[in-house]
Amino acid sequence: MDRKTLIEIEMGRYVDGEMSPHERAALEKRLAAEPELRRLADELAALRPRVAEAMRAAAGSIEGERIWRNVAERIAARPSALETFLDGFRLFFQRRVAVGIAATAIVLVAALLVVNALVRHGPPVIGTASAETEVTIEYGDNPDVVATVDQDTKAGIVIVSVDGIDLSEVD
Amino acid sequence: MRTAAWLVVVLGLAVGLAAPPARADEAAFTVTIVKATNDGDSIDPALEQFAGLLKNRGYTNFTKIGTVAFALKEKETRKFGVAGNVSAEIEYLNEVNNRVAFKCRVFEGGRKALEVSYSIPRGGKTMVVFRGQVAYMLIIEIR
Repeated sequence: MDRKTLIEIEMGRYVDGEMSPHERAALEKRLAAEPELRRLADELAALRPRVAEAMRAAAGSIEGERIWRNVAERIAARPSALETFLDGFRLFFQRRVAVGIAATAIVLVAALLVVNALVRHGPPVIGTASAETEVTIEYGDNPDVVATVDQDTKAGIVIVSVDGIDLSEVD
Repeated sequence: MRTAAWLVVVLGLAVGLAAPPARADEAAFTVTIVKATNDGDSIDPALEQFAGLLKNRGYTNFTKIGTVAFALKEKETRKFGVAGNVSAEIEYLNEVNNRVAFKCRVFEGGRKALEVSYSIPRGGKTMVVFRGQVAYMLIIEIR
Protein backbone atom coordinates (compact mmCIF):
# COMPACT_ATOMS: atom_id res chain seq x y z
CA MET A 1 0.00 0.00 0.00
CA ASP A 2 1.55 3.33 -1.07
CA ARG A 3 1.73 6.50 0.98
CA LYS A 4 -1.05 8.27 -0.91
CA THR A 5 -3.48 5.44 -0.28
CA LEU A 6 -2.50 5.40 3.40
CA ILE A 7 -3.09 9.13 3.61
CA GLU A 8 -6.50 8.80 1.92
CA ILE A 9 -7.49 6.06 4.38
CA GLU A 10 -6.33 8.13 7.32
CA MET A 11 -8.11 11.18 5.98
CA GLY A 12 -11.25 9.09 5.47
CA ARG A 13 -11.12 7.93 9.08
CA TYR A 14 -10.65 11.60 10.14
CA VAL A 15 -13.59 12.82 8.09
CA ASP A 16 -15.78 9.94 9.27
CA GLY A 17 -14.88 10.68 12.92
CA GLU A 18 -13.40 7.22 13.39
CA MET A 19 -10.09 8.42 14.91
CA SER A 20 -9.22 8.41 18.55
CA PRO A 21 -8.76 11.85 20.15
CA HIS A 22 -5.02 11.35 20.19
CA GLU A 23 -4.87 10.39 16.50
CA ARG A 24 -7.20 13.22 15.66
CA ALA A 25 -5.03 15.78 17.54
CA ALA A 26 -1.89 14.53 15.80
CA LEU A 27 -3.51 14.69 12.36
CA GLU A 28 -4.95 18.18 12.93
CA LYS A 29 -1.49 19.34 13.90
CA ARG A 30 -0.22 18.01 10.55
CA LEU A 31 -3.13 19.58 8.67
CA ALA A 32 -2.28 22.93 10.13
CA ALA A 33 1.30 22.52 8.99
CA GLU A 34 0.62 21.03 5.53
CA PRO A 35 -1.85 23.03 3.35
CA GLU A 36 -1.87 20.31 0.68
CA LEU A 37 -3.04 17.79 3.23
CA ARG A 38 -5.63 20.31 4.51
CA ARG A 39 -7.02 20.69 0.98
CA LEU A 40 -7.32 16.90 0.58
CA ALA A 41 -9.13 16.63 3.89
CA ASP A 42 -11.57 19.37 2.88
CA GLU A 43 -12.25 17.68 -0.46
CA LEU A 44 -12.88 14.37 1.27
CA ALA A 45 -15.14 16.02 3.80
CA ALA A 46 -17.10 17.64 0.97
CA LEU A 47 -17.36 14.36 -0.94
CA ARG A 48 -18.24 12.17 2.00
CA PRO A 49 -21.99 13.02 2.32
CA ARG A 50 -22.51 12.61 -1.39
CA VAL A 51 -20.65 9.27 -1.42
CA ALA A 52 -22.69 8.04 1.55
CA GLU A 53 -25.89 9.18 -0.12
CA ALA A 54 -24.89 7.49 -3.36
CA MET A 55 -24.03 4.32 -1.43
CA ARG A 56 -27.33 4.42 0.41
CA ALA A 57 -29.15 4.96 -2.87
CA ALA A 58 -27.21 2.13 -4.46
CA ALA A 59 -27.87 -0.13 -1.48
CA GLY A 60 -31.52 0.84 -1.53
CA SER A 61 -31.69 0.24 -5.19
CA ILE A 62 -30.05 -3.16 -4.84
CA GLU A 63 -32.32 -4.12 -1.93
CA GLY A 64 -35.38 -2.82 -3.75
CA GLU A 65 -34.41 -4.65 -6.83
CA ARG A 66 -33.95 -7.83 -4.81
CA ILE A 67 -37.35 -7.37 -3.16
CA TRP A 68 -39.08 -6.67 -6.44
CA ARG A 69 -37.36 -9.62 -8.04
CA ASN A 70 -38.64 -11.77 -5.16
CA VAL A 71 -42.14 -10.43 -5.58
CA ALA A 72 -42.00 -10.93 -9.32
CA GLU A 73 -40.76 -14.45 -8.87
CA ARG A 74 -43.52 -15.21 -6.39
CA ILE A 75 -46.11 -13.70 -8.67
CA ALA A 76 -44.74 -15.71 -11.55
CA ALA A 77 -44.72 -18.87 -9.44
CA ARG A 78 -48.20 -18.26 -8.11
CA PRO A 79 -50.95 -19.77 -10.29
CA SER A 80 -53.51 -17.45 -11.70
CA ALA A 81 -57.13 -17.57 -10.58
CA LEU A 82 -58.00 -19.39 -13.78
CA GLU A 83 -55.20 -21.88 -13.24
CA THR A 84 -56.32 -22.35 -9.62
CA PHE A 85 -59.88 -22.93 -10.79
CA LEU A 86 -58.72 -25.34 -13.48
CA ASP A 87 -56.51 -27.19 -10.98
CA GLY A 88 -59.43 -27.44 -8.58
CA PHE A 89 -61.71 -28.60 -11.36
CA ARG A 90 -59.15 -31.17 -12.50
CA LEU A 91 -58.76 -32.47 -8.91
CA PHE A 92 -62.53 -32.53 -8.42
CA PHE A 93 -63.02 -34.29 -11.75
CA GLN A 94 -60.29 -36.79 -10.99
CA ARG A 95 -61.86 -37.53 -7.61
CA ARG A 96 -65.33 -37.79 -9.14
CA VAL A 97 -63.99 -40.11 -11.83
CA ALA A 98 -62.33 -42.25 -9.16
CA VAL A 99 -65.51 -42.32 -7.07
CA GLY A 100 -67.56 -43.02 -10.18
CA ILE A 101 -65.31 -45.90 -11.20
CA ALA A 102 -65.46 -47.34 -7.68
CA ALA A 103 -69.25 -46.98 -7.54
CA THR A 104 -69.63 -48.54 -10.99
CA ALA A 105 -67.43 -51.43 -9.93
CA ILE A 106 -69.52 -51.98 -6.79
CA VAL A 107 -72.77 -51.84 -8.76
CA LEU A 108 -71.39 -54.26 -11.36
CA VAL A 109 -70.24 -56.70 -8.68
CA ALA A 110 -73.62 -56.48 -6.94
CA ALA A 111 -75.42 -56.96 -10.27
CA LEU A 112 -73.22 -59.98 -11.06
CA LEU A 113 -74.00 -61.47 -7.66
CA VAL A 114 -77.74 -60.93 -8.18
CA VAL A 115 -77.63 -62.35 -11.73
CA ASN A 116 -75.58 -65.29 -10.46
CA ALA A 117 -78.11 -65.91 -7.70
CA LEU A 118 -80.99 -65.66 -10.17
CA VAL A 119 -79.30 -67.97 -12.66
CA ARG A 120 -78.57 -70.46 -9.90
CA HIS A 121 -81.83 -70.33 -8.06
CA GLY A 122 -84.36 -68.36 -10.02
CA PRO A 123 -86.09 -65.38 -8.52
CA PRO A 124 -86.42 -65.52 -4.74
CA VAL A 125 -89.82 -66.76 -3.62
CA ILE A 126 -90.72 -64.86 -0.53
CA GLY A 127 -93.98 -63.56 0.80
CA THR A 128 -97.60 -64.38 0.72
CA ALA A 129 -98.36 -67.29 -1.58
CA SER A 130 -102.09 -67.03 -1.01
CA ALA A 131 -104.48 -65.29 1.28
CA GLU A 132 -104.34 -68.34 3.51
CA THR A 133 -100.79 -69.56 3.24
CA GLU A 134 -97.48 -67.77 3.54
CA VAL A 135 -94.42 -69.45 2.10
CA THR A 136 -90.76 -68.50 2.27
CA ILE A 137 -88.05 -70.40 0.42
CA GLU A 138 -84.43 -70.59 1.49
CA TYR A 139 -81.89 -72.46 -0.55
CA GLY A 140 -79.25 -74.72 0.85
CA ASP A 141 -75.93 -75.99 -0.45
CA ASN A 142 -77.00 -77.37 -3.83
CA PRO A 143 -76.75 -74.59 -6.44
CA ASP A 144 -78.82 -76.59 -8.93
CA VAL A 145 -81.93 -76.50 -6.78
CA VAL A 146 -84.66 -74.17 -8.01
CA ALA A 147 -88.05 -73.85 -6.33
CA THR A 148 -91.23 -72.19 -7.53
CA VAL A 149 -94.43 -71.53 -5.67
CA ASP A 150 -97.84 -72.04 -7.31
CA GLN A 151 -101.34 -71.82 -6.01
CA ASP A 152 -103.92 -74.43 -6.91
CA THR A 153 -107.00 -72.25 -6.58
CA LYS A 154 -109.34 -75.17 -7.23
CA ALA A 155 -107.81 -77.28 -4.47
CA GLY A 156 -107.15 -74.17 -2.41
CA ILE A 157 -103.58 -75.02 -1.54
CA VAL A 158 -100.10 -73.76 -2.23
CA ILE A 159 -97.68 -76.06 -4.06
CA VAL A 160 -93.90 -75.73 -3.94
CA SER A 161 -92.26 -77.32 -6.98
CA VAL A 162 -88.59 -78.18 -6.66
CA ASP A 163 -86.15 -78.96 -9.49
CA GLY A 164 -82.54 -79.99 -9.27
CA ILE A 165 -82.71 -82.55 -6.47
CA ASP A 166 -81.35 -85.99 -7.28
CA LEU A 167 -84.10 -88.43 -6.39
CA SER A 168 -82.62 -91.49 -8.07
CA GLU A 169 -83.29 -94.59 -6.06
CA VAL A 170 -80.29 -96.21 -4.41
CA ASP A 171 -80.25 -99.92 -5.21
CA MET B 1 -137.33 -78.68 32.60
CA ARG B 2 -134.80 -80.53 34.70
CA THR B 3 -134.50 -83.24 32.06
CA ALA B 4 -133.88 -80.62 29.37
CA ALA B 5 -131.08 -79.06 31.42
CA TRP B 6 -129.39 -82.44 31.86
CA LEU B 7 -129.76 -83.03 28.11
CA VAL B 8 -127.97 -79.78 27.35
CA VAL B 9 -125.12 -80.70 29.71
CA VAL B 10 -124.75 -84.18 28.23
CA LEU B 11 -124.84 -82.85 24.66
CA GLY B 12 -122.26 -80.27 25.56
CA LEU B 13 -119.92 -82.89 27.01
CA ALA B 14 -120.43 -85.12 23.96
CA VAL B 15 -119.53 -82.34 21.55
CA GLY B 16 -116.54 -81.48 23.69
CA LEU B 17 -115.23 -85.05 23.70
CA ALA B 18 -115.75 -85.47 19.96
CA ALA B 19 -113.74 -82.32 19.04
CA PRO B 20 -111.24 -81.60 21.79
CA PRO B 21 -109.69 -78.18 21.45
CA ALA B 22 -106.29 -78.39 19.83
CA ARG B 23 -103.40 -77.66 22.12
CA ALA B 24 -101.79 -74.38 21.24
CA ASP B 25 -98.30 -75.73 21.73
CA GLU B 26 -98.80 -78.77 19.53
CA ALA B 27 -99.58 -79.48 15.89
CA ALA B 28 -100.35 -82.76 14.17
CA PHE B 29 -98.83 -83.41 10.75
CA THR B 30 -99.71 -86.08 8.26
CA VAL B 31 -97.33 -86.38 5.35
CA THR B 32 -98.38 -88.53 2.42
CA ILE B 33 -95.52 -89.44 0.10
CA VAL B 34 -96.47 -90.01 -3.53
CA LYS B 35 -94.40 -91.28 -6.44
CA ALA B 36 -95.46 -89.88 -9.81
CA THR B 37 -94.40 -91.12 -13.22
CA ASN B 38 -95.69 -91.17 -16.77
CA ASP B 39 -95.65 -94.96 -16.94
CA GLY B 40 -99.35 -95.71 -17.13
CA ASP B 41 -102.37 -93.69 -16.24
CA SER B 42 -103.72 -94.48 -12.86
CA ILE B 43 -104.09 -93.15 -9.38
CA ASP B 44 -103.49 -95.34 -6.38
CA PRO B 45 -106.87 -95.87 -4.68
CA ALA B 46 -105.20 -94.82 -1.43
CA LEU B 47 -104.74 -91.43 -3.01
CA GLU B 48 -108.32 -91.04 -4.15
CA GLN B 49 -108.93 -88.15 -1.73
CA PHE B 50 -106.06 -86.26 -3.40
CA ALA B 51 -107.03 -87.06 -7.00
CA GLY B 52 -108.02 -83.50 -7.81
CA LEU B 53 -104.76 -82.27 -6.41
CA LEU B 54 -102.57 -84.70 -8.32
CA LYS B 55 -104.05 -84.24 -11.77
CA ASN B 56 -102.50 -81.82 -14.26
CA ARG B 57 -99.10 -81.84 -12.57
CA GLY B 58 -97.34 -83.23 -15.65
CA TYR B 59 -97.57 -86.85 -14.52
CA THR B 60 -100.14 -89.57 -15.22
CA ASN B 61 -99.40 -92.35 -12.76
CA PHE B 62 -99.48 -91.91 -9.00
CA THR B 63 -98.52 -94.40 -6.32
CA LYS B 64 -98.66 -93.90 -2.61
CA ILE B 65 -95.27 -94.64 -1.10
CA GLY B 66 -96.29 -94.16 2.49
CA THR B 67 -97.71 -91.94 5.17
CA VAL B 68 -95.92 -90.38 8.09
CA ALA B 69 -98.07 -88.97 10.88
CA PHE B 70 -96.77 -87.28 13.98
CA ALA B 71 -97.56 -84.54 16.47
CA LEU B 72 -94.95 -81.98 17.37
CA LYS B 73 -94.61 -79.55 20.19
CA GLU B 74 -93.11 -76.15 19.50
CA LYS B 75 -89.52 -76.37 18.25
CA GLU B 76 -89.75 -80.13 17.83
CA THR B 77 -88.71 -81.74 14.54
CA ARG B 78 -89.38 -85.03 12.80
CA LYS B 79 -87.26 -86.36 9.96
CA PHE B 80 -88.37 -88.93 7.39
CA GLY B 81 -87.07 -90.41 4.15
CA VAL B 82 -88.48 -89.41 0.77
CA ALA B 83 -86.53 -91.29 -1.91
CA GLY B 84 -82.94 -92.28 -2.60
CA ASN B 85 -80.76 -90.28 -0.27
CA VAL B 86 -83.31 -87.50 -0.06
CA SER B 87 -84.97 -86.92 3.28
CA ALA B 88 -87.18 -84.22 4.72
CA GLU B 89 -87.70 -82.77 8.14
CA ILE B 90 -90.60 -80.82 9.61
CA GLU B 91 -90.15 -78.44 12.50
CA TYR B 92 -93.19 -76.99 14.23
CA LEU B 93 -92.47 -73.42 15.23
CA ASN B 94 -95.63 -72.02 16.83
CA GLU B 95 -99.24 -71.08 16.28
CA VAL B 96 -100.44 -67.52 16.01
CA ASN B 97 -104.10 -66.65 15.35
CA ASN B 98 -104.91 -70.23 14.38
CA ARG B 99 -102.10 -70.23 11.85
CA VAL B 100 -99.51 -72.94 12.22
CA ALA B 101 -95.96 -71.92 11.43
CA PHE B 102 -93.58 -74.68 10.52
CA LYS B 103 -90.54 -75.41 8.38
CA CYS B 104 -90.01 -78.20 5.92
CA ARG B 105 -86.34 -78.86 5.23
CA VAL B 106 -85.12 -81.08 2.44
CA PHE B 107 -81.77 -82.85 2.62
CA GLU B 108 -79.64 -84.56 0.01
CA GLY B 109 -77.51 -86.88 2.05
CA GLY B 110 -76.31 -84.69 4.88
CA ARG B 111 -76.60 -81.43 2.96
CA LYS B 112 -79.56 -79.13 3.27
CA ALA B 113 -80.93 -78.44 -0.20
CA LEU B 114 -83.97 -76.38 0.65
CA GLU B 115 -85.92 -74.93 3.52
CA VAL B 116 -89.55 -73.90 3.09
CA SER B 117 -91.21 -71.88 5.85
CA TYR B 118 -94.99 -72.04 6.04
CA SER B 119 -97.74 -70.29 7.89
CA ILE B 120 -100.95 -72.22 7.26
CA PRO B 121 -104.33 -72.19 9.01
CA ARG B 122 -104.79 -75.21 11.22
CA GLY B 123 -106.74 -77.80 9.20
CA GLY B 124 -105.09 -76.76 5.92
CA LYS B 125 -102.64 -78.60 3.73
CA THR B 126 -99.85 -77.95 1.26
CA MET B 127 -97.76 -79.91 -1.20
CA VAL B 128 -94.09 -80.12 -2.14
CA VAL B 129 -93.25 -81.63 -5.52
CA PHE B 130 -89.73 -82.83 -6.31
CA ARG B 131 -89.73 -82.85 -10.08
CA GLY B 132 -87.72 -85.12 -12.34
CA GLN B 133 -88.32 -87.97 -14.74
CA VAL B 134 -89.86 -89.58 -11.69
CA ALA B 135 -91.41 -87.14 -9.25
CA TYR B 136 -92.02 -87.42 -5.54
CA MET B 137 -94.70 -85.43 -3.81
CA LEU B 138 -95.21 -84.63 -0.17
CA ILE B 139 -98.79 -83.79 0.75
CA ILE B 140 -98.60 -82.19 4.19
CA GLU B 141 -101.79 -81.89 6.22
CA ILE B 142 -101.83 -79.88 9.44
CA ARG B 143 -104.31 -80.40 12.24
